[in-house]
Amino acid sequence: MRRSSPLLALLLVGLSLASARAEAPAPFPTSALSAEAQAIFDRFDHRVHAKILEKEHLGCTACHQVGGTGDPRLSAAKLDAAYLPPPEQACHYCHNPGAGERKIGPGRCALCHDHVEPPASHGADWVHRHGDEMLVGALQCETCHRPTFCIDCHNRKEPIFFQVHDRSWITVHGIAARTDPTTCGTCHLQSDCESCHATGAGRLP
Amino acid sequence: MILPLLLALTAHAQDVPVPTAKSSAESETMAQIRHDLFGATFVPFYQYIRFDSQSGNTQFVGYAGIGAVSGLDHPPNVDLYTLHAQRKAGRGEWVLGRQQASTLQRRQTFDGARYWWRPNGHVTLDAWGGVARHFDLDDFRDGTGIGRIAMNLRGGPMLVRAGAQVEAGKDTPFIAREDLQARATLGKGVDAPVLEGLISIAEPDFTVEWGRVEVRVPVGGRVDLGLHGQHREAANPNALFGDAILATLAGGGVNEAGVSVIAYGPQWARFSGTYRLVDYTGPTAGQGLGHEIDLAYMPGRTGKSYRITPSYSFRSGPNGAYHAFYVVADDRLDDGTRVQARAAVVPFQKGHDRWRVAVDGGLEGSRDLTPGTSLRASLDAATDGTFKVDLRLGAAITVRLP
Repeated sequence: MRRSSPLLALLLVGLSLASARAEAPAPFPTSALSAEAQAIFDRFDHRVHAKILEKEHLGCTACHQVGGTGDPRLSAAKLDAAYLPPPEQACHYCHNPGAGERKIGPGRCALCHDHVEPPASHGADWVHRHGDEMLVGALQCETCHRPTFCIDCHNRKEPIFFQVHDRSWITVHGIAARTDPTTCGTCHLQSDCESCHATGAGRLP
Repeated sequence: MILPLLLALTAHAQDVPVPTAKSSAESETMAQIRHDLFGATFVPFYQYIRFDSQSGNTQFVGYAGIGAVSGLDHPPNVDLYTLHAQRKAGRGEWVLGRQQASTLQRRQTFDGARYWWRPNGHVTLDAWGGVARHFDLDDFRDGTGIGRIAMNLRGGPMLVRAGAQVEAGKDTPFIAREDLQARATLGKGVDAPVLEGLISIAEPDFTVEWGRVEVRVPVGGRVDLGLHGQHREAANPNALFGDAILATLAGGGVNEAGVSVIAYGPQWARFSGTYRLVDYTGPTAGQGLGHEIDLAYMPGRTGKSYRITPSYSFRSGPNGAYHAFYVVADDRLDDGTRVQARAAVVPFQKGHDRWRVAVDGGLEGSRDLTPGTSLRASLDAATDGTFKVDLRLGAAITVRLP
């Protein structure tokens, strides 16, 4: 008996520790989250999102996609503190910078991200190079941009609101066209020149 | 037992799409009052419809526009219509309907199908085909059958793309074009030098060569310095560019060298500057070198509601030179109204004329009238040598249907 008591005590301690470990909320391995993602989750407030999520009929599992954790005993706070951080698609479904007016929540990247920057490819001369890059890897564009993003700039050319050319452009466009005509050819055809210059409509060069 | 299962499910959750369907439609009605080039009152009117729907892995996209005018000037150039469905399925993705295709020339439009397939991280197959439809920038004849298949191979620092494209139609002779593009990234990291070259061949007289070299080097802190050079040449420009402006003004080719710098600050703040030296050969008399400078500063998205964004552009070539100084200030008021003020001062010299100055400025505001309905209005004034003061008033109403 004397010899069995310490063993029994050790066994009991071990069982109790194992039981306690099994019942305690298992922390999500922080190494699986970047520091930025962890910071975003730390700032997330369910109360701010409750109304719009209800309006959009988005339940818990729309974000916490782990096979339908419908257990009401798992409160939102416990979900956050434990092991169910939503994938980034869940956030970007509503906060979608490329969705235009379709977005449900604000699309400003800096709303959540502290240090989001354009990708390294979007450097100082990106406007001139993006067409070539699109040919190499078109699928990468839609990581951030919607398909209609291209149309908004390349195909809509009504001059009511300033988009590409300011009002002085009609005066100086001939200089730019002779400096680097490849830039004009991105959007315009020769017929665009002829429609004014060849017909004598209004001002000639 | 439950912990490993949850962790495994969470890991797979990165690939699980949000399942809820969502769609919206948007109508944008725009009108303007201004003078036309003859000095008469001119009122153009535009109507756009945009449709976007996401259901599971399938996305439907529609975009259409019409226009009308009241006045003597040219009719508005609105030829905009696209409608397609896009779906990801396994390692593939397809697009069906009227869509824009990536070609070696400019973007084209066709009615048909496109399919991407990525069996692994090294190979991408891209195939599309259909009937060409005129869509603004279209080079193909309406109704011409077109198709293309291309394969990207990625391995280490190399990317190679090989493609073949065919065109055939009732009034179009059969044309086949083959192209080969190679890109080498010399080193690791986003700042590694990039070498790139492309050659495309088509019978009987179509050959285009294109080469580009680019080097980006961090020079301290959050400042990158870039150097690039580019050469494009087409044996028969008309075969490549059709009646594009480039075929007229730069029929032979373009050589370009440039240097750029970009400096990043916190919260998206950045300054960028580029200088390009352009030399082109073509049929237009009076050839010469072109110089281009672009400078821009974008302030960060700090806690302030307003931003002031200045920029500068310089162009100098055979037809003259100009300096363009721009500044845009925008603010968001407490009631949600967005206001923007902008101004441009542009000293310019055409040919050997004396230097003159074009000045323009404008105000623009937008606000939500009701949930889903917004109004946008602008007033611009400019002087450009023809009109001492030319006023333009524009307005747009956007209605969103959830």
